[in-house]
Amino acid sequence: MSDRLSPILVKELRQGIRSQLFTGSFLLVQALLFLFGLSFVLSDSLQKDSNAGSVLFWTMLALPLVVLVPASASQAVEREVSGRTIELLLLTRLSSYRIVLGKWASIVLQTSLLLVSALPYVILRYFLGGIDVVRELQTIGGLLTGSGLLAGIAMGFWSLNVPRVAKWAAVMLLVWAAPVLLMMAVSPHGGFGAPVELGKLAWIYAILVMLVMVESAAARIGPPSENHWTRVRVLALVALGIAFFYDGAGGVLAAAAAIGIAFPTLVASMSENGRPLRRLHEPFLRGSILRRLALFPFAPSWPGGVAFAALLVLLVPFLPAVRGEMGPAAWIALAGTLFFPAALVRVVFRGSRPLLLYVVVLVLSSVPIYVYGFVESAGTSSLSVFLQSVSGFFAPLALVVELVHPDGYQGSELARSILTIVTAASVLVTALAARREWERVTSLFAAEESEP
Amino acid sequence: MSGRVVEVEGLERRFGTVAAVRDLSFQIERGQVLGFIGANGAGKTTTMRILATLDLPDAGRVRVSGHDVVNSPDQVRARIGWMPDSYGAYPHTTVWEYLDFFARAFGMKGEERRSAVEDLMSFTDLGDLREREMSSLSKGMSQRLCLGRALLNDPDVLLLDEPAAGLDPKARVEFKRLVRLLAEEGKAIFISSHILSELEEMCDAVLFIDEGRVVHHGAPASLKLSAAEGIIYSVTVASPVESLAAFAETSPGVELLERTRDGARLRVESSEPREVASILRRMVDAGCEVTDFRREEMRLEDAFIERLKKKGSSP
Repeated sequence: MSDRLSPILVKELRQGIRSQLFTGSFLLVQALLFLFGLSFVLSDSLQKDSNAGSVLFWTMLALPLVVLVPASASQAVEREVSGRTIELLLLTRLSSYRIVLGKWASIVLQTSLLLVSALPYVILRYFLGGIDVVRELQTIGGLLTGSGLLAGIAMGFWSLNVPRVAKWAAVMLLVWAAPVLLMMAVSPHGGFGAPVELGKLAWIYAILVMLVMVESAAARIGPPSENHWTRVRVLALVALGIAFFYDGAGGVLAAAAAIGIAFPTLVASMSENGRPLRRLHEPFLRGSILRRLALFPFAPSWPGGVAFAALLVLLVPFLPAVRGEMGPAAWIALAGTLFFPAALVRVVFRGSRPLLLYVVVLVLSSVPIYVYGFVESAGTSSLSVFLQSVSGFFAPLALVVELVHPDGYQGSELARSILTIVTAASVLVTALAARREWERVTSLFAAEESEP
Repeated sequence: MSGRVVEVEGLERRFGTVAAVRDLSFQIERGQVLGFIGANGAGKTTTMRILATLDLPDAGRVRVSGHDVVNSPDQVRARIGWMPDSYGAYPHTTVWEYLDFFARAFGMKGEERRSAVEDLMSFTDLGDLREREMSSLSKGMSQRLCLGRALLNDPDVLLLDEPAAGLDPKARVEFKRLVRLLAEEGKAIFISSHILSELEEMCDAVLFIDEGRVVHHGAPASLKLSAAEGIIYSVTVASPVESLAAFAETSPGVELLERTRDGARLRVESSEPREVASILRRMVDAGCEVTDFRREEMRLEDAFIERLKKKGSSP
């Protein structure tokens, strides 16, 4: 194969097309298509009702893909990790990102081979029944793109350090969601009655999710000397940036999707525990003060993560879908929600598993709120009173209540004061800790440079 | 240019509260084969992984061909060949495809790649197996293939983690020959193994670590010398071996090192001929039907165990 192709792509294609999974899927596709072709030739009703014929044809083709793509994606990274061949790959010139990308491209190419093998049947249908060629090609494109997205996201899920059951559940959910996305993309009305704009937005965000998941898969297998944080943070910011261009129904979808991408990134950034390495930080320590300030939120390590979280917290209230809906109290609630666990984890606990601790504190900090809310709402059966009381403290729920409740923030004065004080203290403590750590990092590098 | 290819100074690595490597320092010269000895969990694999840039040290400095493993991992990777203890075979991949893939991954193109693969197949004697699937290779063939892969980028240093494990005697001899050949070509070789007799024959020096610390660093003979307390005798008996074990247990100055099929290896504290003769007489009196009694040279395994014992008994 050509020297220009990625080595990983060459290897994965050599292995992939000889695997039982691929040959089995290929034979299944051919058998199903042959059956379809036979029934199409013999059945007048299928020839007359081109829509029914299309649905049957594409469903038959999509079914094997639903098996092939997640199964290939699940094996792609895990096989290298469990067989410990990943170490050999990482000692070559290939970065973990190129490794994951090559594996992803191989799955997409194998899917393309299956789809291309269906073209003779598309031509047969064209000659026997009046089909819309453009629509058929659109569907092939949609299936291919959908498979690519599914492969990337499934690879990302599979590389997460979670139980296998959870991985399968997530991938099955994706398999279920993929046709919805596909319909939204290829239907002239946007699919499921949704406007075309929403369909496009769904695709854009699906691509962003895929890129984030591919990066997280690379981060999982990569050596500690690689920086994956910067790219993930940029992607999260792009997701948020896109939401600024949409208002109305699209704006709500965009804001939800952007926050869905940004929130895990933000949580991970706030609890980052990577070893500060000079080679990773050097690009962020060069140039003018303005340049360094602008790049600081994208610098790997915890101080940069805190700056990135602060940037997102500052941007969220200005999203078109949120603007005007989110009062100062809700904004303070959001900041408190994110900074209180960060301050506690970094300054008080200083544990070796900051991400777990951060999430635990995030969840536990919500418990008193539920108790408080329960007491407040005792005697009334109103859910809204309960929710309003709950929103008086810092918790993710406060933001949700703020966004969905028609009366907006209704917490008590006391609750609001506590919220403000705790948030301010958390932000201050986190900022001071981040500054101290950043100074330690930069002085470490300065000391290394001064060594002979 | 300095002959030192690997320089390790004050290396430390902790996993939570466990110190895997503590204040480890050593060097490897060009053309030197350094054996790495230590019990399971002594910190061998951790050290090798740090050298291979797969892990980061908590303290200390590690340089390969002058490049720091933390700050210049790409340059280090270009200069090392890594052969891990577990050999991961790719399914549906032939020997030639495997080497071709790694040559591509090292950035080789066209004729350069083809000739590098051919040269290595001939060096490792895999020419006849080019179309064989990796999964059908024997352990010895797989190790040769793995060594070939580790040599693709023409490294300055070869890191071999337990390379001889599971090999049959013929494959071991062949493997030793290849290692010595590579050392003669000027490559620095860092090799860990549990089969200490292999290391003794292959290595110019041994680095013995325990609980992350260096216990001994020097020629294999010097390790034996430093551990030597007493003399080892190989005894063969016609009576049951238990009689010999019982004798060793009750005799002061005599220690059972190892049972063999028809006897045992004993360590005798005294080197005085009269004392040794007296021990032999008492052995016969105790009912041991001695058919052979001969002095043996201390093996690296014995020295290794002795050093561990010494360390365990020291405060």
